[in-house]
Amino acid sequence: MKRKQEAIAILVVSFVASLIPALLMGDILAAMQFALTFTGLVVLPMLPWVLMLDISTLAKFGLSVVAGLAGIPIIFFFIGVVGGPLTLPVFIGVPLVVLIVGLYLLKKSKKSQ
Amino acid sequence: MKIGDFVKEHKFEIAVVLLFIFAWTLRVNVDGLFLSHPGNIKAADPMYHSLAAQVIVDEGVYGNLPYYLAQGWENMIDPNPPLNYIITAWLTKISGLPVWNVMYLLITLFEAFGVILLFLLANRIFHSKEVGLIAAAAYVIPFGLSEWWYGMYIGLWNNVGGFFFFFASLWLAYEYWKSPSRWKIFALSLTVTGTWLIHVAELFMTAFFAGIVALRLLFYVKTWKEKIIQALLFGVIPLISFILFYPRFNELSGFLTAGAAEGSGGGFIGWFWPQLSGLPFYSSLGDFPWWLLIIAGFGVAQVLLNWKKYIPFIIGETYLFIHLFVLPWFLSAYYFFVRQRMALPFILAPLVAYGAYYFIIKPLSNLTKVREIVYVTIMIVFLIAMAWPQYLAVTPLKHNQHLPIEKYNALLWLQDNTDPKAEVFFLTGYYQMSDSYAKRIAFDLDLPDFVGVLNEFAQSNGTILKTEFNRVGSAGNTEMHMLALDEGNFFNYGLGSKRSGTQNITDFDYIIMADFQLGDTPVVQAYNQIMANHLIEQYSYRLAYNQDGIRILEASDEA
Repeated sequence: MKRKQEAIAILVVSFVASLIPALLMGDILAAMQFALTFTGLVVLPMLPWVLMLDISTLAKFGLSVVAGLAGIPIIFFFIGVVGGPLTLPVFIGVPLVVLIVGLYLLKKSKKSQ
Repeated sequence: MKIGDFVKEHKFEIAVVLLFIFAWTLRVNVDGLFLSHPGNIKAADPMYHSLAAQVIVDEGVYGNLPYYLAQGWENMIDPNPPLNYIITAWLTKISGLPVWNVMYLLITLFEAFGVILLFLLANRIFHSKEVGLIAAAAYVIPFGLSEWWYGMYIGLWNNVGGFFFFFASLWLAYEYWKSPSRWKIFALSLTVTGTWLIHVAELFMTAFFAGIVALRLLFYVKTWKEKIIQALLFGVIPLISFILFYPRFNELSGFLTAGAAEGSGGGFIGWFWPQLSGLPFYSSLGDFPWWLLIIAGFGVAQVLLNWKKYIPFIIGETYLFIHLFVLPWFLSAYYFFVRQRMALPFILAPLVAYGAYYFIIKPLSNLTKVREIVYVTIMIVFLIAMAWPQYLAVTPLKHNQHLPIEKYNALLWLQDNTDPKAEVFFLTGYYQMSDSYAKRIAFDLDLPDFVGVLNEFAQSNGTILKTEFNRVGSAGNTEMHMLALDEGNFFNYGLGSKRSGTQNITDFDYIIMADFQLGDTPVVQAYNQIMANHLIEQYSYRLAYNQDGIRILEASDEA
């Protein structure tokens, strides 16, 4: 599969997989809020990083969830434990930086191929 | 690529994703989700976990316990591993959903993600997507689920998170063993750190596999430059996290020997085998059905017959069984060994899958000339269908609510109508830290202690009305989270002094009583009625809230 197709497949799987159990809240908007947050903050920032690897698409999905739930919060921990803020700008900014750096490296890796 | 071709090419992966979604939804359904109140929280631990995340959401910082969880202390540090709280706070803050729903969705994700990890791991070990798929299916509803899901539905939630990172570590460690690379060892460093920062007990299990990876790095990576780079990728993040977190955790580290087997005298080493089965949350292989163990036995035999192909798998499984079944004979810290048996369905699944594939599916397929995938599908349906009655038996039992909306409304009233520094005594109906959601300095009489008080009251025909109790605390008579005080410096915290466990309820600004939770017994209602009258008449309290069988008495200014 091409990288673009893989990326879309991983994001769709992440969104649908997190939407269905969240529907047990009994509110489709609330469920979508969760699915979008999970996909946008946990999976999406890791996506360019895992797309660079030579592993199966399912392994890429697995790794993006595992690394997203470990790596980004560990950065929050480093910020928080020394007294830094854990507020909205940090909660959005850190995943955004992870995503941007990943995209840059992905682009670079494409060029070198 | 056409959709039909795509599905055909990726049928195993699609099946695994569908099994994962099914598994996650089933797990969420056990405790349920509630937009109105924390109806899915069942015990003291998850009350604390969800509030610890809420504190980060509310205050935008991590580190200190709020005064209302620390008997009024303003500078009490939080010594608990924080990753679950930080992840939940992050997704709660952005999604705007209630913290108890976000945390439960995450915990059930941690549990259900074993389906994906098992496929990835078993497929890699046995070079067979069929075996991977059967292993994943065996984990959708593990047999004996009331034993293995206990941590999930009752609220040992950090424990479940610890297993998630541990299982991910197993996968990554195996991948690294097969072909070392920088990204694998870096990802492993994240999962090892995740394990340590979410629930320390799983670190013991993870340490063995991290050690194997370290040896692999030392002996099989060729150049010194590469060795050093990979060692840094592996070590830096866990090391920094250790330096930053251990000073906090140090005061709680004694907690990890809690639950020591009887007769150990509190010691770590001894002979504990006779007491094992009496330990809380004790589970064993006997909780699986005999036929599943036989299939797993076939898997073991097949693996041993082909031992040269499966050396790392044999080493890993052997260590895990020694860790869970032999070490607790003489090492007593049950958090490290006995409670970790909740990982057994994950550990057993690859063996079950391998045994089922080689001793049932393959021969049947050869014999009948029907394609293997047909029998794999039948096996998946069979495994889930056989476990389904257990799911149906357990789930309705967990739909009872520890903190129903009536009781939650009374806590919201306290939040809205009382001074933030008001002190509240929860006399009846609120147990196991459910009072903490009042966000007030709260003491309570826990259920086992209240039963004694109630018996005394009943035997005296309602004449004994004590106002002083000697086993109360901010979580009933337990002594949680009151160990470390932020005095001194970052690496050396002092100790906080706790308030006495003996408290007179008439010293509190508010007293709250609920008529239900002890089976709606009339004697509780009678106790509450007589006690309320007694406090109003003798101690000048006034009835400030009286709804849905819940009373809140307020001390008068003159009192």
